[in-house]
Amino acid sequence: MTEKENITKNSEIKDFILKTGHNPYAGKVFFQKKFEKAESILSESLLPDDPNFEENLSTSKQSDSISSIGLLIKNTRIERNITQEDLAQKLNVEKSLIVDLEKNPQSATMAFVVKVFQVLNAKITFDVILKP
Amino acid sequence: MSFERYQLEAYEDLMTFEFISKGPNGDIQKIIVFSKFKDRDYYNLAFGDKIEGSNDFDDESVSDNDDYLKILATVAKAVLIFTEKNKEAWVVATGSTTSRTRLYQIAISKNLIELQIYFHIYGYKDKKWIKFEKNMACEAFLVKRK
Repeated sequence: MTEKENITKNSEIKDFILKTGHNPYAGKVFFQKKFEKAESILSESLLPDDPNFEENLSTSKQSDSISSIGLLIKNTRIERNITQEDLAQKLNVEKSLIVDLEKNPQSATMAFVVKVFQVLNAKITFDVILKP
Repeated sequence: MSFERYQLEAYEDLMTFEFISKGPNGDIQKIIVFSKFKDRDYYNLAFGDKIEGSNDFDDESVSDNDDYLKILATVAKAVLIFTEKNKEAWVVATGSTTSRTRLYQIAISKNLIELQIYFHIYGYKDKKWIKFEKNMACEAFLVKRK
């Protein structure tokens, strides 16, 4: 965050009137329908703080051939029912590397990609198509 | 955040905030409530109009002071203040109607770049939480401080 943003943020956080005394609304139930609707949604979905939650790719993103390797790794991992953390452990690397690999595989070496698929008990093949 | 909004008042627990919407329909007292879900660090965000003559609130009323963007900016500020105190909290919000949810979606989309400075933002769509993108239609919203 830039210094300007930090200053703005801090002044925003302090800019409200603190009311003294007992909160007359404490313990009361308001907006029950909304609460129940939200509770239902939370109970039927995988939440972002769940270890198995995977940040879904944007529906508008286009995949190119490099990005699709990241997708292949991710899909194979999910197929094998393995979390990013578990895969990182098996490969003896940090979880952040796996997160990065699935999103931006460009910086990974071919050897590492092949190793990942080996650990996932999968075989990757390359198909070369000569352009005219 | 740099948008026009109403002055907030809050009790020490920062679970309820109040403000007054001003406009053609006069002064309308509003309340913002954060309600904790059992056994997890998730809170429901709801807000609405005070019912005159009582201490009850209504989140389905259509009192319109033509200030919905200002109201939503005020609510966003309350979320910022609340999550400053509760840094690990996830805040979920749904509209009481489909059109209300769409209004929130529009407001978030309009201010997405600035909101993303402070928050991770997710939208609930097809029974999944997805990283929110501009103009993404969804049924609910989930945010957490960065």
